[in-house]
Amino acid sequence: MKKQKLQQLYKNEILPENENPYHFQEPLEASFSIEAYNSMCGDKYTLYFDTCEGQISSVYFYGIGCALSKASISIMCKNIENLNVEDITDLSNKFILGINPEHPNNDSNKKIQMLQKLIDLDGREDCIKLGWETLKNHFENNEL
Amino acid sequence: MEHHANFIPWQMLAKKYQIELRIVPMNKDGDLDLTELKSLIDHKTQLLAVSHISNTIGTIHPLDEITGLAKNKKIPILIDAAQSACHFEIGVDSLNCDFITFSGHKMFGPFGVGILQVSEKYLGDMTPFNLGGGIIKDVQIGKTSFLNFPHNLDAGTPNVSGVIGLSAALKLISKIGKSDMESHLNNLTLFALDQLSQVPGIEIIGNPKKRIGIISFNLKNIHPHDIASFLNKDGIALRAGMHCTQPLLRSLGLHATARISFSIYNTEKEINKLILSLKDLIKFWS
Ligand SMILES: Cc1ncc(COP(=O)(O)O)c(C=O)c1O
Repeated sequence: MKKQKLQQLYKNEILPENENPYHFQEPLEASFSIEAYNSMCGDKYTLYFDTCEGQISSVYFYGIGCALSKASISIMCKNIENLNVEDITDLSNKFILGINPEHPNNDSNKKIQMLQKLIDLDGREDCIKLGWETLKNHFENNEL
Repeated sequence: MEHHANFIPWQMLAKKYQIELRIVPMNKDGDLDLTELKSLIDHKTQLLAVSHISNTIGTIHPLDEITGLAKNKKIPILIDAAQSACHFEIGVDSLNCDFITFSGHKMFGPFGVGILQVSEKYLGDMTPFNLGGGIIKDVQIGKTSFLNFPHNLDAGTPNVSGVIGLSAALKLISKIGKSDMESHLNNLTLFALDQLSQVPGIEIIGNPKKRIGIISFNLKNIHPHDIASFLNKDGIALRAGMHCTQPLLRSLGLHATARISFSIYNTEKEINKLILSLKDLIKFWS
């Protein structure tokens, strides 16, 4: 990826999300929380979930990390509200698979597509995947 | 202060054998607290392990003073010279210590190969830490006897190509000359510190009494990984993250830093380019 393309992506997609992330705060109460931590680089967020009738009714997150991991988690949070465990696992699995250029990515959500294309940003795969991996690992092994 | 490589092994040993592990604190400047060191070593101390140069802050530790303190109490000393071996004269005699370790990858050599030097005094104590072929004198059903150091420490099929590569790297280094390298690195470090301090919103991590070859910094509001990605596009390679020194970063209240490091092939012109690239990034981000 050329510098100009990187600047464009950051300017149009990453920075707005980074500066104005979705539900970026520690809620007073949550049904449960999980930690998204990349021990290689230090990025660390807590994801807070509220549940209602077998679904995730709202997600908040808070923590410290790079613009990419923050933007990616922000977009992720927007996309998993009102889904059940199965749908969330499915979405996160597809997201992670879709990051691999060998797998055609056919998510209809433009923001998710944009995130997956960031794989061209050499060496930042873990930043993009951090939240999604955490989600996948949790919901593959836990019920609501 | 230490790289995990010179920390976790001791932590694990301490756990396994119920040994007390004492950590010398570091001040905000990135210097070890030698007064504290003095009070931490006593008749019970079995080993003092310290790096020569910090791989995160670049601090050159005052080894004369540190080894003096330990030698006074007859404590064996291990020096992790990974960050200094390339451009400082090292050796158990010249550094007045008992063990020296360093790796190939920070001295133009291959990855996954390194050197352990042991003083005469402890050669006899060096016994195999893992087992396999290549380290034995004689094997019988009932017992095995081993070769002497260093041949008893490299069990299994050795990393022959790595060792040949490291040997070539060492020859190259002696051809260039370590003192020339050191003065080049020193000049670059001073120049870079001066230039970096003029970048708006920069926080240079630590201000140790002596530093060489490594500078960690943070920019206001821009995460080190984003810094690295952008600088990369200008052809500048730097490392972002915790640099395998989590306790060090935590003691400074940091989560990550961007780190520049120099070698003989770097120039002042490249540092100027770095400064321009940083200023460009700051402008873009704001
Ligand atoms: C000061 C220091 N010690 C130890 C190491 C680890 O070396 P290795 O990974 O070869 O064990 C490094 C860097 O790689 C280092 O900078």
